[in-house]
Amino acid sequence: MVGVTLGTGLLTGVLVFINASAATMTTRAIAPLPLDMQVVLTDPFGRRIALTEQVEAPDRLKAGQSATIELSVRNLTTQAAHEVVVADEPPAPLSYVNGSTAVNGRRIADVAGRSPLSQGLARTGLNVGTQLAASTLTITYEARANVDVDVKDLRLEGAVSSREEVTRIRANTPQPPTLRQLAERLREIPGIAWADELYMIDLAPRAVASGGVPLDGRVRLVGADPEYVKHYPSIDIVSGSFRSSGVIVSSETAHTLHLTTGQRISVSVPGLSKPISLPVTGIAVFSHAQQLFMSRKASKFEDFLYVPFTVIVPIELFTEGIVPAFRRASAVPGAGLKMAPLSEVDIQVERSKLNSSPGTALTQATAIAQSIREVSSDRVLLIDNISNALKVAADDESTGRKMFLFLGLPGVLVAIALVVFSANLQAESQRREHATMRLHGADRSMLIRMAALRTLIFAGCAALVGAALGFGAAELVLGRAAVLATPQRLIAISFLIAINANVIIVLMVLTGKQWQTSAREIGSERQELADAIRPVWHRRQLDLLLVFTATIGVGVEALVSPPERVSVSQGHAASLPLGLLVVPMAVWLGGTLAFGRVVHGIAAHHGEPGVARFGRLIRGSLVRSVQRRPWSVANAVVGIALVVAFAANLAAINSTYHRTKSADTRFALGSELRITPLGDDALTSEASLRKELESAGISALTPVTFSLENSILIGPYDQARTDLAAIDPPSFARTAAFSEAVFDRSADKALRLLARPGAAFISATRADDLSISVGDRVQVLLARGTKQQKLKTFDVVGLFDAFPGFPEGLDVVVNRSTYRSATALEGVDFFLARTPDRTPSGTAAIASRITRTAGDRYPLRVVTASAYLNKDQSSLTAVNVRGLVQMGLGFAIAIGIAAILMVVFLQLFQRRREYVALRAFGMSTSSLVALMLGESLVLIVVALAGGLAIGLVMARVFVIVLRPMFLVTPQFCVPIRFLVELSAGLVLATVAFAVAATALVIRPQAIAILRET
Amino acid sequence: MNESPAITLDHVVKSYAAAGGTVVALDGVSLTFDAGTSVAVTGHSGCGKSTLLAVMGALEVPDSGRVRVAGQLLADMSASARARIRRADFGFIFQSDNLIPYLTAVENLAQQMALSGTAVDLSRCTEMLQRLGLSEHLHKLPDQLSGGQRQRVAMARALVHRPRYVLADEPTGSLDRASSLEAIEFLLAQQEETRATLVVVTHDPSVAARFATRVALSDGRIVAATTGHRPALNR
Repeated sequence: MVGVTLGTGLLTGVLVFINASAATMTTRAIAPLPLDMQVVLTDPFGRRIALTEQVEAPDRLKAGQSATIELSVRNLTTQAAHEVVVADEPPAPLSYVNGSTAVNGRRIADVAGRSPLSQGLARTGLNVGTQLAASTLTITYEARANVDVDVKDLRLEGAVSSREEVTRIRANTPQPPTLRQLAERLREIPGIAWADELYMIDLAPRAVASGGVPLDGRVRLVGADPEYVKHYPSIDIVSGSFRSSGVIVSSETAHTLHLTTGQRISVSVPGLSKPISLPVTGIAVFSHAQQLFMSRKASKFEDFLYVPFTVIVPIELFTEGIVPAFRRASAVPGAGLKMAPLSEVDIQVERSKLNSSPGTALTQATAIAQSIREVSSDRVLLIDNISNALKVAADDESTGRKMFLFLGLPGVLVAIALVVFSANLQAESQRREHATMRLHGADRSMLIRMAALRTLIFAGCAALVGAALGFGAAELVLGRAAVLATPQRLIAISFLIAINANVIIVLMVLTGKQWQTSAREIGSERQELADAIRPVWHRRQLDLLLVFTATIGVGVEALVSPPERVSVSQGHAASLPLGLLVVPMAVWLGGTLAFGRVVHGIAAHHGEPGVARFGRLIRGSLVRSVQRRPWSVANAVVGIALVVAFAANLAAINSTYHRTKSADTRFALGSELRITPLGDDALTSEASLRKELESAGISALTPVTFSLENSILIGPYDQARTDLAAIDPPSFARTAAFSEAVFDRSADKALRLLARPGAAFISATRADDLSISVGDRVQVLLARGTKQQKLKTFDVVGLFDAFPGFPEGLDVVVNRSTYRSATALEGVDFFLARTPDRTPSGTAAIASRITRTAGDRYPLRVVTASAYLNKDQSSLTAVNVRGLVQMGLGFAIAIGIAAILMVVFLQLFQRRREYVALRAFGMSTSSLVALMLGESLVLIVVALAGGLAIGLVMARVFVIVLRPMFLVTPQFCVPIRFLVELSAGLVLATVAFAVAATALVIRPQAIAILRET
Repeated sequence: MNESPAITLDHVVKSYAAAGGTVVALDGVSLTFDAGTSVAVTGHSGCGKSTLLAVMGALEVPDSGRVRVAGQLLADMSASARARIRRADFGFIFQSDNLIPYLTAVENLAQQMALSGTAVDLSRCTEMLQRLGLSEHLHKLPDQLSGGQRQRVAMARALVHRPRYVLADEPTGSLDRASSLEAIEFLLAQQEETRATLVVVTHDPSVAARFATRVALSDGRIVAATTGHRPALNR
């Protein structure tokens, strides 16, 4: 029952774990999303111009008959539309009637013999010039049918555009909804929790002022409802509140303008003749409001581009004042408006309805996205952040399931082995009893039915207890909320699979054993068996086959180049080669069975009778017991070694995974801390900030200058826009997780080379693209697109594959002093910092101190490695490998102890007559303990030695296979302390069980067995 | 011959818990076994014969009454002291051979010598087995021997360390008549040679007839005790 309980427990635990983790993966995947979906109006000003097209003809045109096509262009605005272009072609199967086009009734000439509405190869339309405000222009032309056609079947192709309405508008397109109408429609869609309108526009410096004092910096003006602020608590109102009558200003704005609630600010908007005066009703910290500052540009998608001077105004101010003003301003040629107001609906999906696996959640999110597309016009852009995240999570889920499968499968096999072992034990215990029953006439089917019934009762009860145990274990590791959030159907399926699998296995073993034994002679069944029979795996040479498979697998793994590293922080799913995951299993199973073969060989080789001397009592008995029962010994060793190997494997994977994951995170973040100044350069002086940071207790600090596509790398034959980082090599070496960087030389040597003026490192990928080699001279346009851009020549001193702090990749690394002298740019994009205490709590304490002290003066974003691991990485971090491993380890230890218990008591059970006889013949208690313990200890020690070695080899192979999950190369870690403790624990358990078994033997009533025949 | 009492039982009571209540196996048994004598204990099944042997052999402790072995009161002895006296002074034979399955015939004897604390003398072990006609089977494991051969090895094992008391519980129960008598003759011959006290429990009258002293038990009580001349050994 113990075997079945633990077997069912582990299987249930693994299955519940897999299903509960899938839901956790969904939660984890979507947790960091600042916005689930964004529906962005591609034209925030609404449509300025409209085109209607109709055919004037009978319902059915016969071949040769003509129809009049009429196009009406309406200017919907109060401003003139310039360079209005109308394009159209007669709908097939109609052909243009030459010379039939007229504008407002005035006939115009064809162009090159073709319709003026479809000119040249590009089929460009007719430029009708400026169309006055609120006016209508009518264009007509004739078209003749080539074949008979119904007019309603004609597909009209007319389109219009203007300088203000650059995108072509098709004829008869209805007016797109306003942002408010769109938001209202979206709120009706099932599965959407809320849909909030949001406007944003960046105003030029000095656009906002108070008391005559202007803000000397860019200002972000946000239009939102008070509901929006409630829905996004990342907008941290520190004073006052947001009311529809006033504005909220950022703490930086309030600080610079010395504002308090109740005071007024003035906002100057292009297109308005005078500034708008607004009362300040609240002050807020916006530095965590990602949804307001994440880039909507494809080139910098989701980059956090903080604007310290931010003001939220009531949405009506935007819809009634600012947007129309901008529309007016945009119509003025040369107004120089760089951007139109961003108009979007921010959507939050009902996340409770996504509480399932990423795949299922993705289907639901995709359905919501489809509904959004259906209610939106073609002039909106849907940014579906949640589906993108879930797509990655769904791929991660697949990877996670593979990992679970291969981390959990050995445990399940061990549990099954335990079940088989216990079933065999039960069969063994019934052997004599059944033989006696056969003696009295019981037939084979009767005995099999009895075995089956008994199995169903006992194994069924044990399996139920085991299922509860497994559920409890999964709940303990994953947390009650995660397990309870798992769909009950999946939990029920997990239970059914685990219970049925275990009961069926026991049933098969017992009835099979019964079938086997009932075929043997009754007399032989009633005998005491000196040794077990040769096992199937040995007869079939399964061990050699598995070892061969493992060897081939390891060889293939060594020969095949390592798969492309995909960091979990890159928003991609890591993939694991399914085939290679089999190799650790083959190492485990094949290695252990082969070890059993060796143990048997050694024991049997020395076990031939005819020894000249007996030796001392215990030693003489012990040696012969081991040597003359080689299969019993080998089977027990294999059973325990399988468990020990499994536990050692899990422990080694656990420590290696933990260590590598930490290194991976440090590498991705760059160091223990990444501190990003959020303010403008004017607000942040590097020297003073550095002083603040150093006083907060960090042990090393290094500044980094970096932005995407900030340079152009010009190679000997080609050039490309590149991401360049300028670093300070000495301090970078002290601070960054540099030892993990992958260079074509040692990391230290690389940094020494980079310290030379004019030295540059190029990424191996980019060097390959541009045919650049080490030793080449390349030109780099630094600070691309700024007033300080400068072309500079660099010597390529090395190549790198991965660079700390840049998990998404980096193209060029140069010395920051070279960069500064060339561009005169002093700005720091972020600092990497190392803390004296590298534990999560130590790092978090310093991060908190920095935020409290330096953060008061400078807007900063401080990210710790542990926070980065928990929040910013993909759903793969929800693949709770550690949890699964620890749960497996717990069961492995329990199964190990149960296996030892069984080995000791099986030994006692099978050989009780022998021990009781020795006791009757006067063997002392201590000698009896020594004999029983000695036999058990021989098994345990041999199994421990073999199991630990095989487990570590298995883990080593597993770690190789798991390489794609990490950014850095995993450093295999042997948890020596744990393994010593495990070994000591198992030995102690053996001693305890042997002593308990001896107590059973020395009971006076035990001698009754000696009288049995 | 040493006629001083070897084992004495004085109003020994021994009972067992059973499904239907308590079963009294020995009900106030008082007996004296002189040193160097051979005694047959007879009676029907369940009369307490085996319990008598277990109590005499320090395998079990009586509920009441006193058992003395060579003058020592067993009740005063610890379990380890009783084990010590068993391995040094007793030889046991049961109906089942109870041989150690992974030891050869000669090794089973050697183990008994090692257990009793005497120096292991393989030549004596070999000689004992040869005298029992097992010359060809010295290095065979028990499952390579017939039932009769195994029982003879068990007898040799009980005697190999020259015990002062040999207790045999239905030693011929699993043997045919000829083998039974042969085995009993061997035991009696050994007893005569070593002057050990031999107590044999049997329900076989022909076996009992080979003993001069016979004790009959019924329902845990002694119902008859006869002493006479032992028939001549059938050598």
